[in-house]
Amino acid sequence: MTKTEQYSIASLVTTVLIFLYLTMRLTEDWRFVEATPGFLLTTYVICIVLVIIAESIWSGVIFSGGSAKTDKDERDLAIEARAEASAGIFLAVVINVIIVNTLLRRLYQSDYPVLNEFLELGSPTEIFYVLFSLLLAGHAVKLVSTLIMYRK
Amino acid sequence: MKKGRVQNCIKELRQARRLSQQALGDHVGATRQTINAIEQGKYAPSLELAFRISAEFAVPFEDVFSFDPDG
Repeated sequence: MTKTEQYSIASLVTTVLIFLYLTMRLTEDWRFVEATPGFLLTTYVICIVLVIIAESIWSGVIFSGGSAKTDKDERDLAIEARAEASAGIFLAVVINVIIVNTLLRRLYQSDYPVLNEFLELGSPTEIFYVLFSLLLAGHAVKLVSTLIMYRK
Repeated sequence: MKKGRVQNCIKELRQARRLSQQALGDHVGATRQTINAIEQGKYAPSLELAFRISAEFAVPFEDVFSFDPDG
């Protein structure tokens, strides 16, 4: 297993844990809480700090040791580039889905009540949760793509 | 147009010189995993790495790598 694969697994676990923390903090009985902007800002800062600490630890532990002269070579960089492209495509698709969903809700909500079943970005908590989750999901897609491409 | 396939005999050359994948990787600036992927035909190396590998074995490039357009 390459160091990049080890780092990807560790980072993926971190990403899932941060997402669970975010969900725990912003939901109650699987519904969004009415959080104040201060609470949201605190949550944001905590998440960012946790991510920075975790990523620093993983990078330090995984990439610092070892006797191999080469940690990353051209194949690693090629896989990284393709994984980033996958994450970019994923984010573009999801953002477009959110845009279309938001527009359709406003346009046809009264005609098609079924639209109420879908995502509504009506409060700062929901917007914050969805956007931050999207960042985490994009990162997770990159990591999963990396792991898959190493195994292909 | 068919994609084709880059074939190589790195494994045979490496084993003839009693080199490990790690040692060859260290000499040419690649990881052991990349050398393994190249040997198995899962990864086609860049021209630069391919030239490094043939130079490491001190044999002509075409003795190490070949291209199968129907592969």
